[in-house]
Amino acid sequence: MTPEQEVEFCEYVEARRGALLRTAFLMCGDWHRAEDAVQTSLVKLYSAWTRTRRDSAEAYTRRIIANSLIDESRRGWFRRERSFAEPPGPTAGEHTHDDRLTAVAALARLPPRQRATLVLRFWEDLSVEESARILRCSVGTVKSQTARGLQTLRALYENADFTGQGAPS
Amino acid sequence: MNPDEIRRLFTSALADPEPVHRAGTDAIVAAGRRSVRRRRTAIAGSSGLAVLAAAAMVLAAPVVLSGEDRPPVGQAGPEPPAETTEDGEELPYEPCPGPTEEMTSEQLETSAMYEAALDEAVTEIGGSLGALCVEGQTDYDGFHYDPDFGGYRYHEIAVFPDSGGDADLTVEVRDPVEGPLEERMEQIAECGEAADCTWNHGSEAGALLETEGDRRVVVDEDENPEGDPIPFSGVLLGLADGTVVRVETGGGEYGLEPLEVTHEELAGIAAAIAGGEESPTREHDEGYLIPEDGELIEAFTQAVVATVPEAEIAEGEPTGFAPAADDHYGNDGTELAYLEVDVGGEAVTFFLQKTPIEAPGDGGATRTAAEHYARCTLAADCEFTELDGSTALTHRTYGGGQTELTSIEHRAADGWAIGAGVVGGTADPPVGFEALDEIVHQIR
Repeated sequence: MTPEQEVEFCEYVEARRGALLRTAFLMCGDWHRAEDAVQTSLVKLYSAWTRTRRDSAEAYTRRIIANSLIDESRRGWFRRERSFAEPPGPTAGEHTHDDRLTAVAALARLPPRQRATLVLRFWEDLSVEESARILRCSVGTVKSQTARGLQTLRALYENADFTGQGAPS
Repeated sequence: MNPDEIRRLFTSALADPEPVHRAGTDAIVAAGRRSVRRRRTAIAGSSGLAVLAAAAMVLAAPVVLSGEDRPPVGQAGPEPPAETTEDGEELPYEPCPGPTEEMTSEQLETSAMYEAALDEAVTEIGGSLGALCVEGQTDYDGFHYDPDFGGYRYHEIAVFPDSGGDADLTVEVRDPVEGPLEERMEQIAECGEAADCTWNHGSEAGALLETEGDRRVVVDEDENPEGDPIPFSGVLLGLADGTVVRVETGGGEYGLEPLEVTHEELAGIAAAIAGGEESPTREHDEGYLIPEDGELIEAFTQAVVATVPEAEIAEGEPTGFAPAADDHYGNDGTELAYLEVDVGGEAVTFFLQKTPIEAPGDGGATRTAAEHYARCTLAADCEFTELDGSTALTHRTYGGGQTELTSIEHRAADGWAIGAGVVGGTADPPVGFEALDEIVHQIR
């Protein structure tokens, strides 16, 4: 990697790392796991940087983050290793303590793939096709996962009591 | 629940302040370099001579500590399990462990050789390997030998930057077995069951069987227990000794635009792997004008003696070149040779470092380029001097328990940087940059 390419890489990391971390957190609910996934994706991106188009770097890192988090949860590793978050601290803006706990608990109830699909579609604002490419599944699967995820959340909000369930999934 | 409500839900979930990053950008870059270096070391390690040279250097290299926490310089051998940077920063974890504990040294070398050939062949068709180790058949990053399977296996993602696509890439090198080769190949390919098969009789590399079809891949057992049909295409190459090389790629963009890797391209990959033993090592990419090691070390020794008249060189010195085990000397390709010297009763270590410039001419001899290759970001101090349009001189100082000085000439046009360094004495070395500059000058 030339000096210029390494500088570009560092600039990319500085610029995008925060957003990638938030996306990863929404997918898994644990800041430590989110950071591990982001770091892993960026280390792999470094190796591929000289052969990666800048405009495809984002999709590349998202793909690694999403699939590593989904794979971990399917293997059960995440379930064993997860660390339960500290009690939430001061809230920001209009969001209350209860809002956050409720949101985290609701997301924790979603299966990992549904959750990742919703994050890509509605947090990252990606199209169905782009989401399918990142999740390495068909367009039809993204559509059905989206519908099922929305349905699950709707049912949770209508019927469930989230008290004390603000744990990552 | 509608999309806007979902977005509000996400925003609420993120209401807590983000934690401070455990690893900074520098740590990520360091881990990336380690990853690249490990791959290159594995590739270089496929040469028996390279392995022997590295092993020899473990015995020959002196241990010099120039900082309390700095690892010994010049130690070759396996990559240390570095969990932190020199600054104590946590390095990113790596989820794809190498298969070092489960293979013999011969199998490791063969795996590295296959990977080098595969890397080269995939690069030739516009791809890039190793984006992600895949859940399922292997947990390894790279080739590994599976005795139960009876051969070497590889299953990762290949990324094709130009098209923005990727593909599951499966490669197998199966050991020879008794029996008709072509019949065995058809059984492996599951011809007539999972795959449509066609014999290609035009291959000079061996018996070539082309396959294509769909495999059902279950992504989510709850959502779709029967899975999605995933198109694949592949080739099996049967060699005269009975070895079978299988290369198969599945559509990475399932249901979207199947990645088009032709059978001819797949056959090229299989042939490259089959002929991997003849593949050149890529320790230094072609085009770099690196002087012969022996000449360089001889010139270095003579220059030290001429510049430091009171220097007495120990018997058996100097050592040969060995890869730098520490990032602070230079990039992945940096190598060092050492010269143990007695100067006025003090034990001093001189070292010669050579660093290939990945893109000769790129960046010229600017401060940015010279300081990049000299790793000035890790140094206590660096002084830059431009000598001419393509040559620069950098004085690099590392502090800590012992001061380490290096004079590095950055030769952009030649494609390499060479440095003469010194560490030793009670605290500061008995010679300074003026002498080191002279040593570098004489080498030139």
